[in-house]
Amino acid sequence: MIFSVLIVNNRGKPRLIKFYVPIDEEKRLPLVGAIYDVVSQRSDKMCNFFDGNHIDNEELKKWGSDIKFIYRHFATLYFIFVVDGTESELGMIDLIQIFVESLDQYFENVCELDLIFHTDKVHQILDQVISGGLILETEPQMILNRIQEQDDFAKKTKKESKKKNKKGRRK
Amino acid sequence: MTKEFEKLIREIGDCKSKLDEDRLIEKQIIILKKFTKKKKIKPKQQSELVLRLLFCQLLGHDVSFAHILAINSSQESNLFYKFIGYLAASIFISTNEDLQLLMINSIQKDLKSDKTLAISIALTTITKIITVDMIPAVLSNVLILLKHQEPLIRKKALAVMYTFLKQSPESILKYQKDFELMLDDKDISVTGVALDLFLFISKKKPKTIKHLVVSFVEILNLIISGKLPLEYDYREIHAPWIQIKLLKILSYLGQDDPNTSREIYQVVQLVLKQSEIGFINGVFAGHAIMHECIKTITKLYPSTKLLELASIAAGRFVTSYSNNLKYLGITALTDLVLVYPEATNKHQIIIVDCLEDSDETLKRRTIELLFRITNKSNISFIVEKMLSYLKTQKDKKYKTSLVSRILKLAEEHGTNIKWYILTINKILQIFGDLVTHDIVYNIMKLISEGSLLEDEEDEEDEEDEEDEENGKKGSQKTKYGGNTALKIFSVDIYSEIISLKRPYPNILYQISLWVVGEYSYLCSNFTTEETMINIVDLINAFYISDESRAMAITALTKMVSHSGKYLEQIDTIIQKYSTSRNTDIRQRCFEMKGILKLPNIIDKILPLDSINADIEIDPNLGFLNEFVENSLKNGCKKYISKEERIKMENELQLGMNENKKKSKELRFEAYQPNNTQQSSTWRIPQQNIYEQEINKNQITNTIELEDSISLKVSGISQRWTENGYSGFKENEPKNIENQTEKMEEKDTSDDLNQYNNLGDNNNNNNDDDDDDDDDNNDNLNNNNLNNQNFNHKNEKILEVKSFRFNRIGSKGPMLEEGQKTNEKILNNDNNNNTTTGQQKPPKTEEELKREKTVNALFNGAGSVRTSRKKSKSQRINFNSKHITKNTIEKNLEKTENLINLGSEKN
Repeated sequence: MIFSVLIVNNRGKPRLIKFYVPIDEEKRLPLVGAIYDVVSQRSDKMCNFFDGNHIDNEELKKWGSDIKFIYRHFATLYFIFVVDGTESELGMIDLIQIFVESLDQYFENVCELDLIFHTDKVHQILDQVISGGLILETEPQMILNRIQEQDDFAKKTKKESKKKNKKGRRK
Repeated sequence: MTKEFEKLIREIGDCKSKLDEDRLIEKQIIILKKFTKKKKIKPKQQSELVLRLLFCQLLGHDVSFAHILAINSSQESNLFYKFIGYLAASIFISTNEDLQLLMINSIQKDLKSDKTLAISIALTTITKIITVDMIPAVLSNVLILLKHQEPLIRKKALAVMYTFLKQSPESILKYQKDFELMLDDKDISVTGVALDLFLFISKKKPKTIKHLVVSFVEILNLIISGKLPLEYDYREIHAPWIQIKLLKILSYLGQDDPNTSREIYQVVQLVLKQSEIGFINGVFAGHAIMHECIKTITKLYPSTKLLELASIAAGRFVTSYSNNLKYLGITALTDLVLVYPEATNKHQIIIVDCLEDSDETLKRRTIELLFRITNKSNISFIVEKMLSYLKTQKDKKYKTSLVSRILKLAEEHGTNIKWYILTINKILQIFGDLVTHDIVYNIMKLISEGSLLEDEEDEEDEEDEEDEENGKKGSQKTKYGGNTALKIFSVDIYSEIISLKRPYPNILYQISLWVVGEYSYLCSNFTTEETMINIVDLINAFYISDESRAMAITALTKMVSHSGKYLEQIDTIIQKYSTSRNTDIRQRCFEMKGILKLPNIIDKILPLDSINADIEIDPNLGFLNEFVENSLKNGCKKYISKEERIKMENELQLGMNENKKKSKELRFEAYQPNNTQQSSTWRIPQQNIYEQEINKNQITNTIELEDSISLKVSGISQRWTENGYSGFKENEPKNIENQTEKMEEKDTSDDLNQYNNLGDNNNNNNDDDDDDDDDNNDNLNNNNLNNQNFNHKNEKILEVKSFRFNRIGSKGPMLEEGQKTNEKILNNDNNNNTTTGQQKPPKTEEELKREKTVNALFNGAGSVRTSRKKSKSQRINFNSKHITKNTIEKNLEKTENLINLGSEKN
C-alpha cells in the first residue's frame, strides 16, 4: 500500500503533501523534511529507491519495518512515494511517471507554478490515481477524462446557480 | 482565484528568507481570522479562503482556527466548492475527532446522492478521515455502493473497504464473500482493487483464502493471454500492476505449502517468460514483473527448475547498466541465496564490483548479500573487499555494526588461524575504536587454547613441506592445551607491533601486551630485553591510555619473572608511575615492586603459560579456620550470620515494649561503628584506610564531609550512651555565620594542635613528612582525616592543588589522593573548635535525613563553588535535643539563600 505522496521542490519546499494514514499535523513537516534531506543528497546516478532505515523518524517506525521510498526527480521537483513491501519498486517508478504524465497533459507542460496555483486540481488528479493508498487508475487518458467530467459538471452547476440567482432577483 | 491570493503566492515566491515568508503568512493569517468571524460568506469566497488556508498549512503554519470553514464549504451544494471543502477537511482534520463527527453527516448525505461525482468525492474523503468508531455509520452505505453501476464508484468503495479492513480486520472479514464476487467484475481494474483486499488477507490469514488460488491463477492467465481491452496495457505490457499484485498474493499463499505451490509453478513460469519481452523493451513495468517473479519463486516451496530460471533472471538484473535494476537484482539475490545457494555462483565478480559503484544504497545492499554468500573458499577475498569499502565509510554507527559483523564472519568461516589473527590485527589497526572488548578475550583465548580451526591448519601445514617442521611443533600440545607454533607466530607478530611504536588503537596494544607478557620467552624475532625496552618506551608514549599502560606494567612484571632478566629502566618506570594519578597503574606498580622483592616464589606467583591452568578456590576459606579459632580463644565474638541476626532482632522486638525497642534500635543499628559508614563515590580508595586508622588510634570523630553525599558517623556509639550525651554545647542555629561544628578529640590534644597548625599553614604537612619516617604516615593519614573534619567550619576555603602534596605522595601514595579529596582547607576558625571531652549527641533518623539534605544542598551549589577559587561555605550542625523542627527548616532556607548569594557573587 502507498502511505504517502509528496512533491517537494529542489529547495525543500513542499508543494503537495498527502498521507494515506492518520498522522498528527505537527509531525508531518518534520517527516517531509527528513525525507527531503535524504533524497536531496542523492545524486541522479543513484538508484531511485532507498529503505526506511535511512531515516530515523518515530512516525515511520509506526508504519512498519518494510517501508520503502521511491522517488523521481523532474526539473525542479522531487516526486516521492512512501510505500510498504507489498508494492513493487519499479511499478512505483512507472506510477510516478503516469501521475506526472497526467499532470503534464492537464496543465500543458506542467511546471512548479501550476502546482502552487492549482493545488486543488493536483489533489483531484492524484485522487484519481490513488485512493486510500491503493492504485485505482493507471491510464492517463482515463484520469484526464474524469477530471474533465468534474470540471464540466462544476461549470454547469455554476451556471445553474447563477441563473437561479438572477431569477431570484427578478422575482 | 482572486488577485489578492495570486499576489500573496507571488510575494512568497520572491521571499529571500524564511523569516520574510513567515511574516507574510502571519499577516495573511490575521486577515483570514477576520473572515472566519464574519457570519455570512459567499460560497465562492469561502472556497477561496479554504484554498488560502491550504496554502498556509503547506508552508507549515497552524490554521486550526479556520477548520470550520472547510467543513462549511463541504456542505455546499455546488460540487466544485464541495470538493474543495472535502479536500481541505481531509487534509486538516485527519486526527481531530470532534471535527470528524461533524463531517460524518454530510458524508452520509452525499453517499446517498444520485450524482456519481458527489459519491466519488465523499468516498475519497472517507478513506482519509475514517476512524474505527465511524465505520458503523457509513458501512451499510458503502456496501451498497460496491454494486454501483459505475466502475469508478465500485473501485472507490473497495478502497474504502480496504481502509476499514486495515483499521478493524475482524468486523470486515465477514464480508469476504462480497469481495470474492468483485474478483469476477467486468472491469479488470475493479478486480485489481479487490486484489488489494485479498493481498491484505493473504498476508494476515492465508489459510482463509486458499480456495481462491484457482481463481487468482485464472485471472493471471487471462491477463497474460492478452485478451483484455487495450486500455489496460501500459507500454505493451498487460496490466502490470495487477500482475504484480497477483504474484504477491500467490507468493503468500504458496509459502510453506507444497500443494498450493505446485498449482502456481506453471503460471509463474509463463509470466516470467512473458516479462522477458518487457525486459527487452526497457520498460520498468516489465522489469517489475520479472523482479516480482523472482521474489515469488523465492517464497514458494522450492522447485529446482524455477529457482534456476530465477537465478538467470536475477543475473540479468545484476548485469544491467541501470543502478535501479542492479539494486533490485542484488536485493532479489540476497533472498534467493537463502533457498538456492548456487544462485550467485556465476555472478560473484559482478556482485563484488558493485562495491565500487558510486551509489551508497547499492553498496549497502551488496554488503548484505556478501555476508550471505561468504564461505570458506571466498572469505579472505570478501573480507578484504569489505575492509576497503569500510575505509570509505563515514557513518560511525554503521561502521561499528559492520566491523563487528566482519569479525563474526571471519570467526565463522575463517579456515586458517594465522589468517584470522592477521585479519583481526588489520581490522584493529584501522578500526580499533569501534571494536568491543569481547574480541580481545576471544583472541586471547584463541591464542592460549588454540581452537577447532587450528586442527585444520595443522593438516595444511603437514601437507606443506616447507612448514613441516612447524607442523610438528604445532602438534605438540603444551601442558595446558594450546598450540606452541601458534603462540610463537602470534608473539612474533605482536612484539613487532609493539616495536613499531605507532599510535595504534589501544585495544590492539592491549592484546599485544598480553600476548607478549604471557609468551615473550617464545619470541623468535626479538630478544626479551629488546621487547622489554620496547614496552618501557610504550609506557612512556603519550598515545596509549592508562588502561594499556597498566597492562604494560603487568606485562613487564610477567616478563621479568619469566626470564629472570631485569633492566634499569624498569626501576625508573616503577618510580615514575608509583605516583600516577591512576590507581590501577599505581596498584600494579606496587605489585610489581612487591613481586620483584620475592625472587624465591616469583615462579609460583606467575608461572609460565598458566593461563588455562585451573586454580583451585576454596569457597569456605578453609585456610582461615586456624586463625578464627585462635581469635575465638583470645576472646573475640563469634560471627553471627545475617539471617541469625535478623532472627534475633525480631525476637528481641517481640519481647519488648515500644520504648525499649527504640533504644535497642538506636544502639543496634545506627550507632554501631563500621555499620553506619557509607562510602561516597569519590572517596572510595581512602575510606578503608581512614577507617583502619580510626580504629587503631581510637580516634572518635564525627565526620561530616561537606562534599560527601552520605554521612560518615563512625565512632559515635562510643560517645553515646543509653542515658544520652552530656555536656554538649548548643549551637546557635539562628546565626548561621557563627555556627561551628563540634569537634572532639578524645586521645591526644597534641594531635589536634597539629591539625590546627596544618590548617594555618599547609607546609606543616611537608615538614612533618620530612622529619619523620614511615610511622609518620599514620599521623599524616590522621591529618588528612582531620583536615576533612575541619573543612566544614565556616571559613574561607581554599582549593588545594595536588602539587602541594607531591612530596608526601612519593612516600605514601594513597595520601595524594586523600588530599585531592580535601579540596578545601580550613583557614582561620580553628579556635572555634572546642577540644573538651564533651561528646556529641547522636542523631535521630529524621535528623540524619535532614543533614543529608543539607549536604546535598551544599553539593549542588558546591559544583559551582569549587570550580571557582574562593568562596564561603556554611556549616550547620543539628542537635537533636535543642533544635526543633522549625529551626531546622529555617536553617535550611537560610542555607539555600546563602548558597544562592554565594554563587551569584562569584
